[in-house]
Amino acid sequence: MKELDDISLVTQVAVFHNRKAFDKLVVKYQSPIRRFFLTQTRGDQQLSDDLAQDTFVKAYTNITKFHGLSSFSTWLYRIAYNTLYDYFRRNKITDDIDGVPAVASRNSENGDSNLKMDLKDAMQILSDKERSCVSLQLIEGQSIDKIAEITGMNQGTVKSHLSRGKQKLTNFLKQNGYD
Amino acid sequence: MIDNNIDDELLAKFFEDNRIGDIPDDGFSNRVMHNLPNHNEWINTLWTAACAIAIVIYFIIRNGFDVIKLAILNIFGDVSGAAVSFKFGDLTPILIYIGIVTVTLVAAYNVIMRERHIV
Repeated sequence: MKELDDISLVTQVAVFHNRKAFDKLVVKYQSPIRRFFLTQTRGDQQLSDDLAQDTFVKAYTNITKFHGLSSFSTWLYRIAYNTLYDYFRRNKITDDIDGVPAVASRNSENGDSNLKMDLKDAMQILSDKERSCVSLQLIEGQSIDKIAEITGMNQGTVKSHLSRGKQKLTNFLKQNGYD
Repeated sequence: MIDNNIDDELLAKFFEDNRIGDIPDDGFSNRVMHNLPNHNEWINTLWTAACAIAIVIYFIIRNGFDVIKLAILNIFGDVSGAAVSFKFGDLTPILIYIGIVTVTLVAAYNVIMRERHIV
């Protein structure tokens, strides 16, 4: 029923250029999309909101490219994921040699209270792709096949990133006395 | 590969304890809507206006008013002919027309009010 509502709204946007229908979609998905960016940018709220806004603008201008083969939320997350990695590429943000992403230290001054310190520290130890996969599964509750659709990776690769990411997190939590 | 170092319960507890929860809108959706491109709507409006003008011009060239007048007269004549073929006692065709118009207006009013309540 939820998907039928989304498809109905998307149809109104695509066919009738109904901005009110798109506003409903934005209101519905602004929280999960912004939350996704918050975990990927180590709590940088300003950056997260900018990236989330870019995501919705891209979704609007490319709405006719949504063919209903996946759910609208999966399609939107895919745009968000691509927007994130476009930002990384434009700003030449890469993982450090030891796997700690440079964006983490760069944005640490802009950290936001929406992302608690423990979660920030924990996500920092993961590589970009591990963080994406882990947050999509453990925070956004996406299944492996959905994560594969969102990230464009095959399911085996997603499972590898999840496995490595969870191992790192487990070690981190145990080393920091969280058990 | 056996992932015997992964503690799923520990991870689940950690993420539950650090749940971010729903982020309040705080005007975010308004900012998004404000930044949406308008060029699609402009083209759409222009196209609609061009079609409307084309229809009006075609209507005038083809003497649209005469066609409509003829159609109304034909309908009026057919309805009058049908009406006089029935015996309605004191009811005259004009009263029947008034009755039909009244019923139509009341029905339209009810539909409009129902739509307003829904919106």
